[in-house]
Amino acid sequence: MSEPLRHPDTMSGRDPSLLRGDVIDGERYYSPEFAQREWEHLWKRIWHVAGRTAELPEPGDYIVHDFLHESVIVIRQDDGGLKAFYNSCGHRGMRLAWDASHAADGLHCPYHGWVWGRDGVLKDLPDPDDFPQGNPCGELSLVEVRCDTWGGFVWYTMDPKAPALLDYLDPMPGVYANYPLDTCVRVFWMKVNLNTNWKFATDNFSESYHTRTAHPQVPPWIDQDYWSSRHEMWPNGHGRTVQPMRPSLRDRLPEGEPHPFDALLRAWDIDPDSYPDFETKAMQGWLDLKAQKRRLWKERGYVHYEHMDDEQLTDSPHTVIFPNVTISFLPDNIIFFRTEPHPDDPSKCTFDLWCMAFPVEGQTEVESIMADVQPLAEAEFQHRAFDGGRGVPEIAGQIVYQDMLLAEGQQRGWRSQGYRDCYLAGQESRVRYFHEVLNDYLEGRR
Amino acid sequence: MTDRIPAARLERLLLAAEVPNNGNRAVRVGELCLLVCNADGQFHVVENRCSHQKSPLEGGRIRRGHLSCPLHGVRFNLSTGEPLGALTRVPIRTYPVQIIDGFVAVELRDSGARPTGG
Ligand code: FES
Ligand code: FES
Ligand SMILES: [Fe+2]
Repeated sequence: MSEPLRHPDTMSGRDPSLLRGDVIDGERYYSPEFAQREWEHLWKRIWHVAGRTAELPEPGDYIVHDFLHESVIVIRQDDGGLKAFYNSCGHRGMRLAWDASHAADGLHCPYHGWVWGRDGVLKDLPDPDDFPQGNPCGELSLVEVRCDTWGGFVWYTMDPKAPALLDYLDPMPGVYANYPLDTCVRVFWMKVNLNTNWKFATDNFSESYHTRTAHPQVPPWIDQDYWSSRHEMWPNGHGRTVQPMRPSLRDRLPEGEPHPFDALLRAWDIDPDSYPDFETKAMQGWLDLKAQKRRLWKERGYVHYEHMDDEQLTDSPHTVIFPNVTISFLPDNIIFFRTEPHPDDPSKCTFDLWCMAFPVEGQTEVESIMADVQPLAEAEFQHRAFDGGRGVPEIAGQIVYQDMLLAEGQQRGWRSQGYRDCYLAGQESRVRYFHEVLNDYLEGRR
Repeated sequence: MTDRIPAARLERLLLAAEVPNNGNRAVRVGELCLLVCNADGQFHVVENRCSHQKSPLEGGRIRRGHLSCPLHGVRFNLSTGEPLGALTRVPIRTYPVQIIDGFVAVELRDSGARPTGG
């Protein structure tokens, strides 16, 4: 049995004595002034995800990431590298690129026709001799933004003084080094408009205390007992809850009801009826599943298991990357969740749901986890309004949909004069930790 | 509709084998500038002119059934002609395709007039 990696900086995510106890006031969820401080002191300084590297296979391919009123272009260079630029023409400020596409010979501005090379340098323009101050061709450049990649994701930061990406993400790159993250295929790709503040999602994904109530289908599948989970948090503000993907012992399905864990065991040629009782099946079956996956991964083409440790083969480390990205690193799937604030209304946000799967040879369809079975191929982007759930029938009834259903109600509650602060369970400590790290940014301590 | 429907004729544009996978070739038929596109083995014929600022679409990259305008990058759905994104909302004209004896062929009407989408 291989042991999971424990990072030396790991703090318990269940120990409130590690917290200052900052109040989580309601105003931070709706005040425009607070949102403006987040823009100045948080969003301009952190690393943002612009997209997947798979969106940029060839030189000239570019993606566009709009964030609040800002917009950034990331473009694949002729040498295979990536560069990022603010999406504003150096002539008179026109937005240069609208959506992901391909720049054949450069970025052509639709206003006066200036042409910026893939490297950001101005390469052509009409009437180059009519500039008394000097022909700008070859002289001017688009304003560059730092970008880098990790995990098959393209990241950028607007802060020239920000730490390097891998330092910012620390310790995630080490913790998840066993996953071939750049091989997974995004089989479902949706952005949903929600009527809640962006922090709803980070709060929500920082605890699993709500799961039994909000996601009653989950405990038979992923153990929700806080004593069998590991709650971890790190100095950079990131954190995770690692839960065994086996039934919680205190949640039983009614006798005779088909059990998702039985199906999982059978899928790996383990007979669920070979165990004397439910407890043994849950606990021993889970160990047997690890051993069986170790035995069979190669012949079954589960090449992504090659370097995984025993925990990674069967468990669910639900991971929040400060401040607004959550990634579930499941054995066969990577699920990316992210919220971003609305440009003008702090009571609104967009929620990105990217369901990715590790390809297994011979498979043409995969379980996407949050959007049922999907073809094993890169999905097209879809943008929807949640509309009380009516706008997103593809994910109706799924875990993430159940979370979205709660969003608007919590936003309403935060605005009530009756809301003063949270009263948190130990297993929810990371909720307050998130706000304390956020406060550190806003108040100049980071 | 009181106008007489002009006679249709089937115009063979070029051999399908001449268009590489996810490539395109421009073809002139009288006044018409057409673009024959091969999107993962599916052939499409569209007007070779962008609905945004009239750039020829020839040479635009094709990926997953969409053609990118080489100038400002608007992506057009090759089946419907509909653009993605905010730069233009105007679709490009598309022509129903048949493959005859290995040729990519489209039905054109001998009206003498330019096609409605042009
Ligand atoms: S603003 Fe871009 S060319 Fe004038
Ligand atoms: S001319 Fe085609 S996108 Fe502008
Ligand atoms: Fe949830």
